[in-house]
Order: sequence, then structure tokens, then C-alpha cells
Amino acid sequence: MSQGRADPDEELVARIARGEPGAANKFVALKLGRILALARRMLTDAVEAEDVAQEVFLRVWRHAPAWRPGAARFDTWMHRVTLNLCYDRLRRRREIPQAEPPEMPDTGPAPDRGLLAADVGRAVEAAMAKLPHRQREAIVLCHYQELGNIEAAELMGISVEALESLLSRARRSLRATLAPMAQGL
Amino acid sequence: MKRLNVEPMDAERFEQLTQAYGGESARWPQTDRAPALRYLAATPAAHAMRAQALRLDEVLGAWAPEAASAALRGRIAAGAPVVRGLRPRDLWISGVGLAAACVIGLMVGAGFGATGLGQAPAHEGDTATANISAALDGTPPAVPALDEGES
Repeated sequence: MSQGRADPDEELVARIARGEPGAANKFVALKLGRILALARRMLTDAVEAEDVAQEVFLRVWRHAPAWRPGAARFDTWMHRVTLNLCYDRLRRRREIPQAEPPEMPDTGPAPDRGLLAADVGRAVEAAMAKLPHRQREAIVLCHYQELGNIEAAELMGISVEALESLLSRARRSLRATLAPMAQGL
Repeated sequence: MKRLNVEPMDAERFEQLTQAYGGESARWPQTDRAPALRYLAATPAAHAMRAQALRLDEVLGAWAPEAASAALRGRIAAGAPVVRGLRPRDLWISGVGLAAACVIGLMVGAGFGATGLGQAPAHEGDTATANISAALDGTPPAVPALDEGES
């Protein structure tokens, strides 16, 4: 996957390591949206996702001087860090019983009102939140983060075959959950 | 057992592809993409399968998380390490400090002059002055006379 390919972030990471003015801002502009979206979709919680994104970038600032290109792409490393931080939080949620389950919108049909994109979006979020974590991770990495199958499988520590199985089960489940509100599924 | 990257593409593998990766060919594994597109072009029945997958892709695309706020961007960027160069403000402060040091130096020097402290012995000053003059008019510099006892 990433081995042997030039890392598009290499030069910018080196500039961050040297403390060059403007390099960090450029990097934040380039990566924050992607990392925040990954955390947001894994955690389905905006506040927690912001905390995770901040922690990821703190680690970027800390590790940039020691970064040696070649082993893995920097973006892949950032995804790995983000996923680890998300899993820490998902584990903590299991260990600490939640006082109230997070409020999720009704995903049932709404015949009396037109379906807006925002309604569909909220229904998708609710359906994603119901998926087992590994299925959600597979969909987030392949569909939303648009990683290649080999890179996603390596990030998850599984084979491509296992990744395809997770993806198929996730999409089947999403289709079943969302079918009442979206025609043609 | 799933069959990965099989050439030529068949109905089973095409179904696996669309069920796992959806209907957009850009998301299909690179090694499967060309055979799958050829299969699609040659197999009308495959279009319905792909259309259903595309519909789910479209619905999933409706979930677009909020963009990062300016406040979050600022907090994150503020934590980045920066090697500070001299800014105009730093230069101004440095200039004021240098001027203050000069004034203090002059005042201390003037104080020493008034009390006679730190004055060079007359002959040393004379020698230095003579050397400068000699350098200017081309005459050899004066050499301080040695005490007779040293010769």
C-alpha cells in the first residue's frame, strides 16, 4: 500500500518540525476536516470528536521532529492515532454506563413532511451509530475517508477479505435500517 | 469463501464488489475496476445491482458532519511549535534596551572621568596618540623607552 510511494505530507511535516511559521496553519487547514470527520463518524458525538482531533494534532506537533518518511504515510499514521483515540473513548463508554442513551432521531418514514437532506443525514447517523464498531470503522474508512481497500485493511489489522465481509454486512444492515425512509434501497 | 481480484469478472464477484464497496467504480479496488466495468458494459443485468448500490451511496452521502469551527482551528494551531524569529516589536524592544545600555555606559564613564578612576597612565595615552599620528603621517610608530635597568 503506502510503502514505496512518496508521502505527499513529507515536506510539510518537515517544515512543522523546523517550526516554520505558517506550516502548522497550513497543515491544520489541510487535515483538520478529514480527521474531525473521521472522529465524528466513529464517535457520533461532536464534542468528543473535537477533543480527539485536538489530541491528534498535539501528537502531530510532538512527533513531527522524529518523523522518518518511508515506513508509512503520515496521513495513515494520523488515521491510526485517531482510531486509537476513538476506540479508547468507545471502550470508556462501555465501562461507564451512560445515564441516558444519546438522543437519536426517529428514522421511520415521515409521510407528512418532505424529506430534507438534513433529515436523511440524521437518519444515516443514527443507523451508523447502531452498527457494531468494526463494521462502522470499515464503512467510515472506505466510504467516507475514501481509503483504498488495502490501506483500510492494514489500518484495521485485518485481511482485505475480512474487510469486504465487514463492509458487506454493514451496508446490508444500513440498507435495512434506512429503507423505510429512502426509496430504492 | 470470497474470490478477490478474479479475472474475468463474473456475476458473483460483481455482486461482492457492489455489496462491499458500493456502486461508484472509483471506490472499487484498483485491480477489480477495469474487469468490473467491462462486465458491466456487457451485462445488462448488472446495472440494476449497481443502481441499488448507488442509491445507498447517495443516502450515506447525506450525512455530512459539521465543518471544523474557526475556534477549534485556532486552538489546535496555537499548540504548534514555532521557532520564533525577531518580530518588529522585538526589534523595537531591543533598540530601546541598547540605547539604555549606551546611556548607562556614558554615565558610568563620565563618573569615572570625574573621579579620576580608570584613567590610563599619561605615557600610555601619549604612546597611543603618537602611534595613531605616526600611522597617519607615515612616520614609524614610537616605541616606549625601556627603563635602563631592563637592558
